[in-house]
Formats: sequence, C-alpha cells, structure tokens
Amino acid sequence: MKKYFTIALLLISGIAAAQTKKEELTLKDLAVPSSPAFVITDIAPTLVQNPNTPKSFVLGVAQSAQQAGSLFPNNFSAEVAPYWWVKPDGRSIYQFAGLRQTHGSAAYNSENIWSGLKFTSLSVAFINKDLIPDAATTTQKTFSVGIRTTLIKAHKKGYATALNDKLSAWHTAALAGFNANQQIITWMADNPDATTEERRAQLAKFKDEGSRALLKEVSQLMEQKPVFTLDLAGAYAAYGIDDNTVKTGRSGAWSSATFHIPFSKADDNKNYISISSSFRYLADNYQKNDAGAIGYGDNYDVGGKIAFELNQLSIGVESLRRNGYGVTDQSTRTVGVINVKLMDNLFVNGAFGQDFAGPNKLISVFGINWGFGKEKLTIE
Amino acid sequence: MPPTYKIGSSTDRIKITVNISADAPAATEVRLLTIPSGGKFTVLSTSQDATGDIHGELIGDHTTLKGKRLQVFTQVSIPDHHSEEERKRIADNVTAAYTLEHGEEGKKRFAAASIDFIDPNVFINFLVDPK
Repeated sequence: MKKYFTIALLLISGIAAAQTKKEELTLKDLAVPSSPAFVITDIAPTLVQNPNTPKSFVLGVAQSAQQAGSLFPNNFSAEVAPYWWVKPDGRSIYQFAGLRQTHGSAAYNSENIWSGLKFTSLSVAFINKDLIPDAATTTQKTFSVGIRTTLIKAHKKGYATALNDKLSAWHTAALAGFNANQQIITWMADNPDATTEERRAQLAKFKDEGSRALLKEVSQLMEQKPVFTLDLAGAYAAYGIDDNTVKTGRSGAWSSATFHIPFSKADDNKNYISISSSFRYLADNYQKNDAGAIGYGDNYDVGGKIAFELNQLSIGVESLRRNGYGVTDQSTRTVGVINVKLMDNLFVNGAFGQDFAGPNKLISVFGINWGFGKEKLTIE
Repeated sequence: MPPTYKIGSSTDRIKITVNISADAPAATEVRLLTIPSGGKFTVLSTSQDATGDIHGELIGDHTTLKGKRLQVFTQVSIPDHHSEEERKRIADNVTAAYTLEHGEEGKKRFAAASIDFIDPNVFINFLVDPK
C-alpha cells in the first residue's frame, strides 16, 4: 500500500509539474462510454439518476421540469438499464451469468456470448449549455439520448464449467445448511401469522457459514473479466437554438474490441493486460477547426490501447488517429492514463498527453475520487 | 392462516411446481409437517440446481398429505461482488410462484407467503394446507 501511495504521489507531482492543464478531459472519454448521452454533450453530471422503475424516471423528469418552471427539464440526466425495470419469470443465476445448458445435459457448461445484451443501458440528458463554439455565450436547451451495450462477451475456456461446478457446490451446501437451521425453518411453518418483525428476528439467526464460503468463490469467478468483449454505443444530441427551432447538434457512435489477458489462472486473479482497438464516429454540425472555422465536421477516429490493470494500479496508453470531412482537422491523440487505488474508496486518477487538433492540445488531468463503491476504477 | 388446496376425493399423486426467479443462486426444499410440528418434518423434494426451481415433482397422495401442512422454503444468496445497492435491487426483483395439481381443485397457483431480504440472503417461505 505504502509503495503504491509513494509511486502515485511521485507520478502526480512529476507529471503535474511537466504539464499544464489546458483542457477538461474526463477519463471516460477514452472508451466506449457507459453513458453516451452525457459524453456527446461534454457533460459530466454530478448527479445522475438511476431510476429503478419507469414511474420513478417519469417522476424525476417531471420534478426537474417543475423546478425549471418550464416543460423542458433543467440539467436532468438519467441512466437506466431496462433489465432492472421488469420482473419476468424464469430468471436464474445461470441466465444472469450468461451460462446455458448444452444439448442433452442438465449442466450449464456453455457460455452464451450474447448475454451482455440484456444489460443494454439507455442514457438521457436535458441540459442548458452553450455547445456552439461561436462568440455568443447564449445557452441552448439541449436534449441528448444514448444507448450502450456489450454485444459479445466471452470468458476463457472452461469458465462456464468452473462456474457451473461452483454453483452446484453452493447448492449442495445450501441444502445441507437447511438441516442446521431446521428450528428456524420449522418455526416459519408453525407460525404463519407471525409479524414481519418476528419473522425477521428468527431469520436473522440463520447460519449460512457453509454456503457463504462457496458464495465467495462464486463471486470471485463472476468478477473475472471476459477474455474478449465487443462494446458498442451510440448517441444523438439536438440543440434548441431558440424557442421555435431545434437542430441536430451532434451524433456519434463508439465501438471497442478488447482482449483481457490474465496474469494468472487463479480464480481470484485481478491482474490483467488489456489490449483493445477502437473505432469512433462523431458528426458535429457546429465543429470548430484550428483555423477558427465553424461548420459541419465528420470525424472518424481509429486507434488502439494497451493497459496494465493490476489490483490497485492501472496504467495504460491510448492512441487515436482522426480523419474526417468538413471542418475536421486530421490529427492524432495520444494519452496516458493512470489510476491508483489508495484505499477501498479513495482513488487518484490522471490523464496526460496530446489531444486532437485545437488550440489546447496538451492534456493533463488529475483528480482524487472519493467514492462509496468498492470497485476500483479501470482504464476506460 | 395459510391458503388451502382441496385434494378431496382425488386419489392421484399431487404434483408441485416451484418457479423461483432470481439473479442469484437459490436452493429450495419442500417439507411436510403435522401442525403443531414439535420440530418434526419430512423432506419431500429439493431443487436440483441453483435455479432453486422444482419441476413438477409428485410429492404424495391424499393419504399422506391431507390434514398436514406443506412448506416450501427457499434461500437465495446474492454474491458479494455486487454493491450494497445492487444486492438490494436483485433482492427486490426476486419472485416466486407455486403450482399444485392433480387434486379435486385441479391446477392451482399460489404466491409466496413471505419474502425477506436479510443481506446477503433472501428467504422465501410458502405454506399451504392440503384438505
């Protein structure tokens, strides 16, 4: 821990001294974004709603519109995965993890490479922002919508069998655990009219040590990164130029094919080399080039990335070549990224390098992320 | 009191189907008890894999089931690589459906008596009194 901390401080101080902050850049700009509706409008909302039901989504939009005092919600952004909005019958851990039965077998020994599709997410944003790079500082009512999915996800050979076996072991241990908890379970049958508090007081005594250890092993397997993923995203943004005119502002598409090569074959391995190639397309009706001209620009970015993702440290470099039409400048962007996990919820993130053409080509972004989640940040 | 299922004059063996819908591993046991149980019970059937489902098991006839209480108990365990918020969302989406067949009442569907989330487990209890 101390070693990583020291390395992080040295890197931060060294690089920060060498670079000058010229332009805002979020780390999410470097991959297929999880919320393309935000990225297409260059916004990094501080509060993104994750409504669990359609009702809460509609309520969020309505409340934001009410606060704005108009029909257009003011700075509202939300991200939803419809998978969580419905409760269909027949879901199971096998389906969730992307496992399926092979013909004639009861075991779930095969992986469904399309299983990431079910977690397709939608993002939407309503913002008031000046996205037209002219001299005027008038803001536009901007609406953007985006979609993101993992089209293909494939783990290493034998992953499905290993997870199936671990789930079988958990199932056996859980059933055996019922014997150790028979007093509690029988109490539930003897007392059908017990209050919720009485029932929960009984269930709180439920002992699951045997199956808990196996559940941990299931977790470790499910946390393993796929060997290959193909991620896709698309987004569209419309600008309200005035109260009566709405024009297409930007539209974009992202794709990224990534290989994760594990450092070891251990179930709890969290160290990978990640190699990916990306293709991105951005059409902007109000793009400004190096000469200061504003107009339509088609941008095609092609490039690749290599990263070392270790348990508490991620470091990598990405290079993209931009070609296009209209006011697009042909240029290259090469950016290095570092993320250091100092402790469970404390991360130091940094990006440095040279951006695409423009007046501010140097990139240098550093920040401390103090989150509430337990996941480490990855280079994306 | 629990719902009832009328076996009546049927001499057929009663069939039970349990459908657990969960994004986490589940295990299910079907028990038969005489109430008050005094802690005694008979296990009639168990799930065969981590779906927690039971697919049309014949569990007994009027001679063994009438006047007793049938209990279906399920444990769903949510892996801890999910965040606390995700575990709650997964728990909220757990559903259970039960079907009894071959009695005088024919095919009858039931819902769970209770679903309790005590992190990281979801406990589902279903009771029915065959008559």
